Amino acid sequence: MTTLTCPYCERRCALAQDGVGFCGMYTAQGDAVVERWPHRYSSIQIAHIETVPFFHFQPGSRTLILGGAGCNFDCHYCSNAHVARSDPNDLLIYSLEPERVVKFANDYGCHNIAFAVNEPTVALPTLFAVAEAAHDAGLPIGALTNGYTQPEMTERMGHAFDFLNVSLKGMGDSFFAEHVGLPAGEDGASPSAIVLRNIAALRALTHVEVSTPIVQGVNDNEIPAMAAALGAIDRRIPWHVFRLLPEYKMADYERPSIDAVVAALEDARGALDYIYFGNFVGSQWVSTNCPGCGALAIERINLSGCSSKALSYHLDAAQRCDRCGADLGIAGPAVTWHSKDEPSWTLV
Amino acid sequence: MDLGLIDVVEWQTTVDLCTGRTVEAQHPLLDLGRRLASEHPYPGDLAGGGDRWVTDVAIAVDRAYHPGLICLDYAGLYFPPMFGRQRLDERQASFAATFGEIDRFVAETGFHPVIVGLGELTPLLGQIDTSDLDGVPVAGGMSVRYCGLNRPSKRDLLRLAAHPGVDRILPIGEVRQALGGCEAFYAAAPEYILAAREGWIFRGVNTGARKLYALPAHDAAIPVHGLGRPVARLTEIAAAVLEMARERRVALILVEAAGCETFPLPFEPTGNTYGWYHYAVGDAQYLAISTGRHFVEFPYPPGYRYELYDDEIKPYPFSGVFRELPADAIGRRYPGRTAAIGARAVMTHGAFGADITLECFVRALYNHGVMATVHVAEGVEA
Repeated sequence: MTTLTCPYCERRCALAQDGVGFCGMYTAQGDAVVERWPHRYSSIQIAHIETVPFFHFQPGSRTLILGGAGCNFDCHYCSNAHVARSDPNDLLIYSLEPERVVKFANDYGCHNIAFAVNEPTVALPTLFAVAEAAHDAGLPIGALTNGYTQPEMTERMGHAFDFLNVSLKGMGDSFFAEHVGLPAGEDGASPSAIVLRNIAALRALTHVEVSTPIVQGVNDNEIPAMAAALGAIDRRIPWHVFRLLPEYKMADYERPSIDAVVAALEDARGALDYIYFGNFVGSQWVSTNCPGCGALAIERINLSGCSSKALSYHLDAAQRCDRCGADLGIAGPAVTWHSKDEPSWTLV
Repeated sequence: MDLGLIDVVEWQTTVDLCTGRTVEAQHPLLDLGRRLASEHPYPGDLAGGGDRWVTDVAIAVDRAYHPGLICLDYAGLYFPPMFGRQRLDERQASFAATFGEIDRFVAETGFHPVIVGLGELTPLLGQIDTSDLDGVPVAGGMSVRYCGLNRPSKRDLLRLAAHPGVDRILPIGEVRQALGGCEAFYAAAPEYILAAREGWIFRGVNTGARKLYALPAHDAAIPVHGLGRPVARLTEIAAAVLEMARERRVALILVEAAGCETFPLPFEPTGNTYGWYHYAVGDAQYLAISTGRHFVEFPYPPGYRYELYDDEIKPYPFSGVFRELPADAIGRRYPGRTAAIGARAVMTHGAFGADITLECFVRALYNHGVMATVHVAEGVEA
């Protein structure tokens, strides 16, 4: 019987016939690696795109957020372990062909689609099919990913997705080994080097933002190094730093000190134009200020967790700063929250 | 004006509840909220200790503010069996712990308690998947007993009628004819309301992803202790409490996931229905108890399409579905000082309308911290 190497993530798991690798979501059948639960989902949500979070792609748009099951990481602090590390048979209750996903997006007035609850790398064939259907219908599609894909898949993702938020979880190999359950990649490449390689590759192909969950005493000391590494790729990459509420295997860890993280981020602003600090309700660091003139460009509030929401926009028709005209790196066609609501459902 | 003090552990901010924007505000009750939120971090819905937190904070509020009416909600019986398996002995211990906390509050403060059980839980029997309907279903929430449906096909209606978990398919015109209600309710209502049989829930767009093990039962009556006289339905509780509060300090205490079968104190049963509608833990039941108005008198019908209202200018962005805080909430109608403390986020401040509220800030079981809200009466500068 043929054992195949999984082509999706950098774990490159060996898949025996009908066997599974680390994520458990793919298997080998004959000479093909196939999904075990294609077109199956655990949740379908409607939210502001800022919730995913994306702050520089179609700000103010309505997003159909899809979730599946499984992950190729085992982050010990995971906030979504109930979907990432639980039995897919319990979770994947929706069976939706790509055309049905598009129908949902249109029925509920969504401007775009995002796969954003668990890792898309564990369901890429399904998501590539959804991307094709979405594009046929004129809908942008994006995802939130840990960026640990093999180069060929990274390139395919860069072409398939219109917007991606890549999680740079840390820099040191020991961090990934101890807290993410991830060994060094092929030829000893460090996980962070692989993720940064992919961020650079994706940035050349599509709209990219980056997220980093901060775990007190674990990776908070790496803020300067992460900012420098991202700035070396492109200082205009928006960086979302999360105050993590540790859960799963690290539920007894303390929440990061907001004052300490804010201080570290102030220093990092020399490397990146757009740094946000959120994942806690009431955050005052989720608005966009123009890097040119300093004026408020998009005012946001944080309602809980990642759940940010725009309150006001100070943009011109080209989505530039309406005070100085600076390019704010905003991608995607401009929309308003209600712009796809049918007249019969438009409120007075 | 309503102010919100948000405490996320070691960091606080103050917001205008209506706009959501950060404000600089001074008020003695805000100072009290700041101190108590800092001193009493919420332990989480599933970690245990949530009911102890309610009692601790309620005692502290009483000592500092001396309200004449206090509203408390205890949710410690609700969350563990909803989201995990709970053995009978664990369940019995939970009841003893929750009612022990209520006893402790009463003993420490001397309030006369009016305790309302909000209904039993029942095992989950099945789920009704709405994702394959041709129409536009609305099944948002954790456990969806009543689902909205717009633009159904004939095939949808036939399939739903044959589904073992579907109890009723109600065209909205029939709902209006049977139950009446306000125009705002029907302006936001779906074309059809679908009702699930007991033990069944709807799932679809905007349903929470967490696995459920139990859900609220369809209780026709719920237990009320300490009111001194029976009331026919839950909408009569607030008036009776306010009448009682003319003579003494009263605590209106809601206990989630306790019904007539399990309530450990003497009680009078009171009606928990309105026509075909069975109340369950949620905004409709809290509002009915606090304001005395049935669910059809509010603009948040079953099948409410939240996304149609959730734009940049939606008022009260920290208050979930609420677009206004009801002026006839029990806390607003009582002429003296009021307070509310609860382990049920949003509804504690949204339904009770107290001068000062302290509630957990939890969304989808994620414990973000504590929120204190302060109602500053018109004409009083914050």
